[in-house]
Amino acid sequence: MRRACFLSAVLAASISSAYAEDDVKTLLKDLNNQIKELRAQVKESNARINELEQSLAQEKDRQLTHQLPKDSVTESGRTAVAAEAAVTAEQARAASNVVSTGDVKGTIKLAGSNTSIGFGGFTKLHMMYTDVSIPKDKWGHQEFYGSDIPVGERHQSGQFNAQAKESRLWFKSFTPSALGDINTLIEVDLDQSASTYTPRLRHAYGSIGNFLAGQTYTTFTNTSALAEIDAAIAVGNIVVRQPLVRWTQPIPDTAMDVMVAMEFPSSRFTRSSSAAASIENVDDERFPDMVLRLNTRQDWGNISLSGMAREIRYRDAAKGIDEHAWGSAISLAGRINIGNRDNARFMFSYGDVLGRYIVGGTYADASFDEVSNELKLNTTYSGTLFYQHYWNPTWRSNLALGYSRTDLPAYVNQALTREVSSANINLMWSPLTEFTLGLEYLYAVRELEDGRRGDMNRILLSTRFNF
Amino acid sequence: MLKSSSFILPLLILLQACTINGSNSADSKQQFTHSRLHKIMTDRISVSLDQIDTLMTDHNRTEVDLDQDRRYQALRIADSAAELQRTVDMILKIQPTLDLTEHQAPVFTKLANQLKAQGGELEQLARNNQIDALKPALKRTKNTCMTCHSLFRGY
Repeated sequence: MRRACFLSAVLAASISSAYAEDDVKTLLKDLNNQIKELRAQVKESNARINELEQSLAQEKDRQLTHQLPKDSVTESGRTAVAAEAAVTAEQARAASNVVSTGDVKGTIKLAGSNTSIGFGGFTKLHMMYTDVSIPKDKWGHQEFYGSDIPVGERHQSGQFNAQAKESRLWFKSFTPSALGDINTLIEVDLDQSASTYTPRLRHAYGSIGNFLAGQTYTTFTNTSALAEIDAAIAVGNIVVRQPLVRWTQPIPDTAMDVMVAMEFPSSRFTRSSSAAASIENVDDERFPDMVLRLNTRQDWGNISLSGMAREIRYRDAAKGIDEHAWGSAISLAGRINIGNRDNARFMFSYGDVLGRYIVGGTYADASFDEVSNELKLNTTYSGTLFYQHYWNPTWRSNLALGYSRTDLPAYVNQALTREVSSANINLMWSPLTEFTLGLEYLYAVRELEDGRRGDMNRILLSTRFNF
Repeated sequence: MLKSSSFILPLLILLQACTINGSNSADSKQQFTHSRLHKIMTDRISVSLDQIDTLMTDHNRTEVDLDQDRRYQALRIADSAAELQRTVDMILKIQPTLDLTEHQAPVFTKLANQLKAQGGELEQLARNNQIDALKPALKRTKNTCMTCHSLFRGY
């Protein structure tokens, strides 16, 4: 291109020379100078390229020499190394007959098996200081439960506590098959009761292709939208694990799928005659909870819309009472990726059979008026907003805001919880994938049906060791 | 008359030279586009790997859910790696128009082929769900990109 410009300019200058000979001479002189400069630059560039090529070649030689034993640089030495490598490869093949790497992360395959198995878990410690005192038989004593926030008179000004009950152990397997991948998972923690370290079954399920059966998270919740906080579960999140069967059907040519599930039913009531603010389970249902969920997954994240239908049944054989009602609930949840690691999550739910699904057992599904023998479904709604920010690959912070509320009839015990709200903010440090140290602040408010309110502040220090 | 035509002729020749210049500019633009394309592919792969990293901190979802999420990201990485290889093919096609010297051309070809091979390796690892091997493979790919850029683009 430069040559073309130059020739054009020279030709142009030659033709014009009859009219401006002096100008042409000056122009030619300038162009000659420019050509000299360009030649010098090209020479310099070529020298640099040669230099880089030589250093690359030297580096490769150095690496090769480093990989081989010193006495193997000779031809005979190379032959010896090749023979040794062959023996090593044979040994590796023999070893693979015993155990090999599994098909999914963190698993192994045993000899003659196509099943990848793996186990793992973590130990987790929570140390916390709360500015109110919560009795030791309450869940809120060691974890955050909105319905355990003290209201009214406080017994003491503060409380220090520690627990390792969230420590977890899981076993999983993966087997490819003609009918689709087979996955199984069993997971336990030590969180069965408020005051002991009794093991609790969290998950026990298997899936083949699109079919899943066993105990796991309800289909109603989008687990990728749950908030990552240390103080148990954020207010407004739906976290229920129960026995279920589920079919997941991908929608062709879209990034969407539909889930249909039948799940364990359990109705929670409050009665007009209850002297205490208690919620009871009758568990005499005739139909499973039925859930339908639509998911879409894109590069930017995912969104899901869930619908649920439940039969709420109240039965008291002694009094000849058998009342039931059908209700429904919906939930919109999602996770939006922001940049490489940050993400925002949300979950909004509403319905007249949502009570049991709201975290912490705070609300009843229905109220029963023992004067009129009338069953009334309680309208409940909840929401959580969450943001996760990575300061760098090892430091991150999470912010969660949650709210939930139920509308109860006037005849129920006025000491029942009407609404709970919370805010969590934390700083987590994960210098290794095996270790996380966290510091979290929680503020939560609970309001009763009679308008009384209580609040709590809690600071938690947590450690988590993965294995 | 003679005077004016003598001015018009060099103007026409200069105009032709500028036209040649214009077509070379299009080649440069094409080269720039392909360079941008393979950077976009490696950036996409980096994002997926970062998102796989964040799964390690997720204690809400089950291990099986996390495995499925890793699989999803691995397939995205495989797709991006396949696209990266196609981009390298396009770069090799336009190489003759890049004004490389006889010394530069073989180095450029060698690096481009190396990048393509590394893209193939990344794709294979991702399709086989070898999650732990992906990060080192991407690092090798990025090193090739940087070597080529430092040799031929000065950055």
